Amino acid sequence: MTATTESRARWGSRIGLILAMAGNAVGLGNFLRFPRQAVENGGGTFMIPYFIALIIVGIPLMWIEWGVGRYGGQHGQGSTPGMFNALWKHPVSKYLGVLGLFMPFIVLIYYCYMESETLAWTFFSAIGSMRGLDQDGMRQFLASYQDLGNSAVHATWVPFVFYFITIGVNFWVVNKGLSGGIEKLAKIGMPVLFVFAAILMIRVLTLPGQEVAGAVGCAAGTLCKPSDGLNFMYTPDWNALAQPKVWLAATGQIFFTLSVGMGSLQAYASYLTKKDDIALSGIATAATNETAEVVLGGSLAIPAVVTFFGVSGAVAIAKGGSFDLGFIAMPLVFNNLPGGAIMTALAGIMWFGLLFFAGITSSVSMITPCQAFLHENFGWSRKKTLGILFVVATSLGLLHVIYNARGFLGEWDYWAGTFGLVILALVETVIFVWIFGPNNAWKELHEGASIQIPRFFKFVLTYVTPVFLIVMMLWWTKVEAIPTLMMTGVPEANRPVVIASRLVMVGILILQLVLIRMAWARRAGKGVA
Amino acid sequence: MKTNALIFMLAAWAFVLGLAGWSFWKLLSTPQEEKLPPPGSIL
Repeated sequence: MTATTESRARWGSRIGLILAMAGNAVGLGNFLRFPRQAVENGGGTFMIPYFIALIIVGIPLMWIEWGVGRYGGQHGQGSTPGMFNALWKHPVSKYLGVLGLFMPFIVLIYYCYMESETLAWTFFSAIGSMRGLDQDGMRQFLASYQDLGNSAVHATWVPFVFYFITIGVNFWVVNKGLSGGIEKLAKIGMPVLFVFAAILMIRVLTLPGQEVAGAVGCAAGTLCKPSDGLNFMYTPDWNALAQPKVWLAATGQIFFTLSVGMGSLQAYASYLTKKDDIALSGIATAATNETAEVVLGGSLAIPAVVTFFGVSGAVAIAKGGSFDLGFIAMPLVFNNLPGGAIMTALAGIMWFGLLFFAGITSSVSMITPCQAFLHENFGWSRKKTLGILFVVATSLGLLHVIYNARGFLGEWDYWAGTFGLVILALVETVIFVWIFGPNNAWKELHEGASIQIPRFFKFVLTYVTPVFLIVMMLWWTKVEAIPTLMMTGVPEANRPVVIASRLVMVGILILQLVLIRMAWARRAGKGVA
Repeated sequence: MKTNALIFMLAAWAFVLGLAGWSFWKLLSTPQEEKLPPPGSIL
C-alpha cells in the first residue's frame, strides 16, 4: 500500500460524518421515487414490507458497509478492491472489488446530468420561465431540454452549461478535501434541504381544496384536498401483502434510498478510526434518510399533485415516471399556488433547490472511491487524480447530454444504478460475513461501538440478509434484467445508442480491471501484500 | 382523512421519527473521545 493509515484524512466531527453519510443516502429518489413506489404497491400496507426490509436488509447492509469501509481504512484502503483484499486474501477478491469503483463512477456521470437538470429548473423557477405554462407547455419545456434535436424552447447549449457547472461544482467540493469540502457541504446542504422540504410540506398540506373538473377519487367529489393525496398514498391494500412483487419493490426502494451497494459508503467509512462508533452511527444515518423520505418525501409531490389534478390525474402523471411528477406536475402546482408570481418562484426555487442539494450531497460521495483508489495505489496527488477523473467523467457525461432522449442514460441507470447495486451488496455481504467470518464481522461492528447491537442481528446478517439479496437478484434477473438485456420495448431507432452505451460501460469496466491489475503489480514490485 | 390511512401514516412517521430521535439522542449523550491538538500546535 502506498498510503498509510496515519496519512489518511479524517472526519472533522461526528455530526459532520453523520450528515455526510446521510447526505450520501438522501437523494432524488427520496422525493420522487418513494411516493410513486408507495402508491403503486399497496399504499399504507407498502410501509409494512418497507420497514421490514429496512430492518433485515437496509440497516444490516449499512453496518456491513461501514464495517468493510472502516476495516479497509485501517489497512490504508479507501476503495473496495483493497478492502476486499484486506478481508479475503485471495487473488480474486481485488477484482470483485471493481464493482465498488465501477458503480459509483458510472452513476456519478449520469447522476450529475440529472442533478444539472434540478439546477437548471431552480434557475428557470427564479426567472419565471415556466409561469403560465399548461401541462403540454411544461412537457414541451422538459422535452426541449432533454432532447438536443428539439430546440423549440431551449437553445442547444443550455443543457451543456448546466452540466458543466454541476460537475465542476462536484469536483471543486471534493478537491477541498474530506473535512473542508464534503463535510462542509453536508453541514450546509442537509439543513437547507430539510428546511426547504419542511416549508414546502407545510405549504402543501395547508393548501385550500381545488375544484378539479372530472376528478375521481377525492372525498368531496370534484373538490380535491391534500388529505386526498395522503389517503391515496396511505390507504392500505391488504391484498398487496400477498404479492412477492410488493415485497421486492419495498426491498428495492430501501436499497436505492440508503445508497447501499454503491461503494461510496465504504469509501466514507474508510476515514474512520478503530475507536469510532459505526453501530449507532449506521442507525442514525439510516434514520435521517428515512425521515427525509417518509415524512418529507411522502408529504410533498403526491398530496400537491392530487390537490390540483385529482387522484386519476395524479395516477396518469405518475405513470409517466418520476421526472413527470417532479419536473412537469410540481411546476404546474406552483403556477397555481395562491400568492402569485413570487410564491410560484419561491416554491420552485425551494423544490428544485432541495432536489439539487439532495443530489449533490450524494454525487460528491461517488467521486471518492475512484479518487481514493488512484491516489492510494498510484501515488497521484489529489489534484492530479481529480483532474483526470474530471476530464474522463465530463467527457462521458456529454454522451448523456447528447443522447439522453435516446435511452443512453436509462441503460446506465439500469445496469449500474439498479441491478449492479444488488450484485455488489451480495458480494460484500458474502466476503464480510461468510468469508471474513460471522464472529470477526460481529466483533468488527462492535469496535468502538456506542451501543450493543441486539444478538438477533448476528443471525440476520449471516443468513437473512444474504438470502434476501439472492432472492432479489434472481427475481430481478428474471423480471427485468433479461428483458432489458434483450432490449424489449426499445424502439429500433434507439438500439444503436443503447448498444453503444453498453460498450462504453464495458470499456470502463475493463479499464478499471486493468488498473487494479497494474496497482497490484506495482505493490508486488514494492513488496507490499 | 380516512382513519385507516391516518393510522398508517402516523405509525410510519412515529417509527422513523422515533428511530431518528433515539439515535441522535444516544449519539449526543455519548461522549466523543477528545481529539489531541495537531503536532506543533500551541493549543
